[in-house]
Amino acid sequence: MKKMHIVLIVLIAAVSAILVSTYTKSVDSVTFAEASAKADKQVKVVGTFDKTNSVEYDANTDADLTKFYVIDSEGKACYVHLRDKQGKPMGLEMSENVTLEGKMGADGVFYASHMLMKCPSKYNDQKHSLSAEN
Amino acid sequence: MQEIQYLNEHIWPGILGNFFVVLSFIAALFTAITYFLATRHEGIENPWMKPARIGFYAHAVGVFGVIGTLFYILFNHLYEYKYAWDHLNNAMPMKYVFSCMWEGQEGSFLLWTFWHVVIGLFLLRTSKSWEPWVMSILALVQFFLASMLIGTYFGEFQFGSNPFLLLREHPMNIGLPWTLRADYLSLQPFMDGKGLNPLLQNYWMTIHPPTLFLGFASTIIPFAYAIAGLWRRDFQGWMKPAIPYAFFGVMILGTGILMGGAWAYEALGFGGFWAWDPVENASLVPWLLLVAGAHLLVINQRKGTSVYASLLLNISAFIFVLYSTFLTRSGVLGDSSVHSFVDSGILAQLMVYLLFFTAWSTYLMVPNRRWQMGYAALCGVLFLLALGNLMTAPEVAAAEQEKLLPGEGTWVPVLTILFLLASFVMLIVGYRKYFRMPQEEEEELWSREFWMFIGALILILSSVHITVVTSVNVGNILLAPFEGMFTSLHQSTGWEVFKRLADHQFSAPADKERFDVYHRIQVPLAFLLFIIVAIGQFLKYKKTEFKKFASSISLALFISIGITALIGWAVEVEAAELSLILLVWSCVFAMVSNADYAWRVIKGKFDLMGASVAHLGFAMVILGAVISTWQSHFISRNQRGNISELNEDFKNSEDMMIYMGDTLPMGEYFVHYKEKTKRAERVYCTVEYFEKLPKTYTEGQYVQVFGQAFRAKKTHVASESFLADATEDSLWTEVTPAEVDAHTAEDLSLWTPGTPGERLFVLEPSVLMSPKGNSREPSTKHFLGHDLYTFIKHTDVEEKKADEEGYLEPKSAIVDLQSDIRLTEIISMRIDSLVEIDSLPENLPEGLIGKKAFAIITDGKRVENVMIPMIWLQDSVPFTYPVESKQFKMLFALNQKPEGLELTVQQHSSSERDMLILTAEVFPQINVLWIGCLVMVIGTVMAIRHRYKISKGKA
Repeated sequence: MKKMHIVLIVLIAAVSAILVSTYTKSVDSVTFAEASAKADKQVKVVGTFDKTNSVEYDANTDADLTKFYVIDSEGKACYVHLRDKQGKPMGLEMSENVTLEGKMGADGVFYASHMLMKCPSKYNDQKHSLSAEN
Repeated sequence: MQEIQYLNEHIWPGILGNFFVVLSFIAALFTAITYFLATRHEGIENPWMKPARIGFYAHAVGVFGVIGTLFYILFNHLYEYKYAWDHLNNAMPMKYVFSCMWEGQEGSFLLWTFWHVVIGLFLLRTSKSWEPWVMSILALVQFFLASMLIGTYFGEFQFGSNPFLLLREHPMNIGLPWTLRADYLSLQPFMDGKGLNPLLQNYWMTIHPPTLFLGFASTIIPFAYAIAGLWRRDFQGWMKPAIPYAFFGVMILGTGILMGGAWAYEALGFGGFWAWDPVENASLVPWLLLVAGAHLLVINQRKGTSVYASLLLNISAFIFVLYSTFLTRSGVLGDSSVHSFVDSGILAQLMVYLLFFTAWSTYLMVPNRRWQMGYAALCGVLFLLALGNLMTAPEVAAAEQEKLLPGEGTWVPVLTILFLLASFVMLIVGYRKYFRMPQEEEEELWSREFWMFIGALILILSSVHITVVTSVNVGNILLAPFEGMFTSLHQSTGWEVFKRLADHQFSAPADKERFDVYHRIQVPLAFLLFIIVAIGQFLKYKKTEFKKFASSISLALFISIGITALIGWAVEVEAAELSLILLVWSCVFAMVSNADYAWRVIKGKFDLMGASVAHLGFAMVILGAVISTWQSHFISRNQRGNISELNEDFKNSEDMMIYMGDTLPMGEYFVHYKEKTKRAERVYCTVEYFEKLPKTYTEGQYVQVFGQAFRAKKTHVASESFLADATEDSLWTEVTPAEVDAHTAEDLSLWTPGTPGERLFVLEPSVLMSPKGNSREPSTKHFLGHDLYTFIKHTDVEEKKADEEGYLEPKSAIVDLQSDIRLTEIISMRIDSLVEIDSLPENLPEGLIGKKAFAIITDGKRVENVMIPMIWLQDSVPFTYPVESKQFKMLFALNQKPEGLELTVQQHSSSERDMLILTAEVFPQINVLWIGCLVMVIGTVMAIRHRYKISKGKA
């Protein structure tokens, strides 16, 4: 079965290439402190939107840029500049969990190229709205 | 304690619903057992068949009853039920009630169960001698799915999630004060629900989930047949009846996936229809496997080969549906997908089902008692170890828990790896001992079956890649046990790669990089696949004479090269885009070749053309996808501010700012922002599109561009770009400030590339306001050759809060003296001087300091002088006295802050103009994709019809 052997070898090579490419291309999920250590490297940071600071957004000058603060899992707040082609992310102020992807700049600002928001889970939200009633 | 008599609660739908839930659960178990007993009965009259069928009918009644009751609750807005309160609200149009149904976890499981029941009722009549096996497998799956709706707790462990739970009975609410009030339903929070996720309030969301779930559900037919074949040790007999169903699954699942793409395109504003989102991928992988599996069945029918691969692929298509469900519903993906469900505590339950079906299939793949017993025993031991470990695992502190991945710190990852290894060994043993073909039957290189097999392998590779990337989060969990090993490897070698493996914090890129991650593997694979699709039909089974084959394929080859060259010339392809043009060529090659085959070889015989038509459609889908994505471009351009500020960091040139009432050029149109209207829950921005007519500038005419003035050197017709006119053709000359001063603002009109002509069409992109958050919805104009896709990047959707006199909320900023302060897009202000007030009125307290600022306000035409006073006590907060500008309808106040002078401005609601920031993108040839989808469906239906005839022995 000579032909099948060649196919098998190609197959194994392809699978290895897939694994290597996936893991070399994948980004690390880190905290802001770790992101600073890996400055200029694309990373992911999971955190929460900082409600104590306001969101800066000026559609007149740059409709893609939103500036706000995010607190990571270690409780460290970091100034974030998000550049998103869709404009200001809707529901940012309401969101709880955010996943940022980008690079930590030398100026201590996290330059995010992508953000994913998770709005409050149903249960928490429910607790809020109902306790407000009482 | 006395039981509370709650007012206005409708209890009976819940009781009825729960009855149906239990009925469907018990009936499924009963059906599975009776059919199982039926499989063990030999002889003509099978006494178990009748009760088994009755059991399945009862199960069907249960499932339909659950769905009916849930609809009743939703239709009647019974907010005492958590499901209604969570997914519905009063304002929402009832046409979206179906979307509400499947927004929630329970509803989508119901949808899946529903299709299984429909399929079951069909198989009951058509599966004949396979009925006991196939139906007992289906009933077993139904038993597991029905359990997802039971919703009881065994200690800490949640067993399913019940859609008929009353709001007040939900664990998070029990004990809250309002649950003790008999009239709680008259409280404000319970008068209205939380509504449907705005993204789901869309036509596509009414038809996409049912289609997709029918596709998912249909994978169970080839699965059940394959398992039944293994079970009966009739390894090939199952294939003939299974083929039409496998292709039916291919068709429906494919359509469902493309509908999802249409939804993303029409409603999500991804700026495309495929985003490689984990949830999209999760539906694509089973499809790819099913396509491979279905084609292998076809090979087998001709050659009797590929038995093992057929079994493996048709089984794994279903297993991967389960895996997808696990991935997207369990919360494992967590933060990496837009539409994955929030962790609802059913991870363990889903994982057990997934592992069970994987183990069972693997067990059957080695038709040998001893191996099977050994494997079963090992799985049992691993399962018990995992269970025991989870029961006795020490409680992890909450803070620690947040940092841990699901299952980390327990034995589950190690045990899972052991299970996977054991299963892998089993599969290899099964192949080598029981399914390997005799040595001499080496397949010919130029045979259809060989290349179909290679095609199947390519599809498998494609699924492996997508699965690996999508499952990076799962990979992290599996890497967890090796943390120590990788740490020490890192210490001894110093290689960064080991550090990363030890950290196991991998995550697939979610930004633009994501496309690269997928395309670098998927594009070459698709290229190879389409070449195989192109040549496959021209190859004969067993052996083809190469010369003959070469001469018959050459026509399609040359035509496709010609067409691709034309496309390449039309789009001015660059060297870096070589891979894309190659992919385009392979698609065209596949299209031409299949059309050629249907024409020349089959000579248009309807019955035999199915495969060619379906392949043609599939190639069109990918061709349309590639061209529309690759050649998409924005026609909206940034025209505000100073263009020279646009640089590497600031390339925001793909949106256009337009004020209400203005008309601006955009691409080949003039756009006019007419109005903003609120209809139901949506805020629409009405944008009219006008024809663009050429505009002539006469010699000596003045214009304004980017804030500078220019004079026309000679009479000319404007081109698309002022820069081109001014620099390349030197038609304009810059004007000196002295010359500018001599002209009024009207003389210096803005340069435009044309004048608006006839109104062509209107687009209304919108923002949907919902209690679950706002979302932007694009509006698209469909042309034959392209789509114009528009999207609101920014506009104010909240009603501006104005005080009684109509003044809006104040805005403050620190300002400098003697510099221009932009108040609006046209009005500016300049504070000339700030002087002490010599004498304050006598009735004011002692020790006050006063200053007054002299300011000039202008919009280029009108000028108004205002004096703004500012009075404060030493070391104290100043009093502010807002001063009104009569002409410009604004209020001004000043305030001395440590960082400087703070100006506060309040605009009057009547003077504020509404602004819209719009993006408009052109997707060329996207219709090729949609037409391809239709062609693919038609072709598959033709092929299924033909196969069905064959399986019935009619052809």
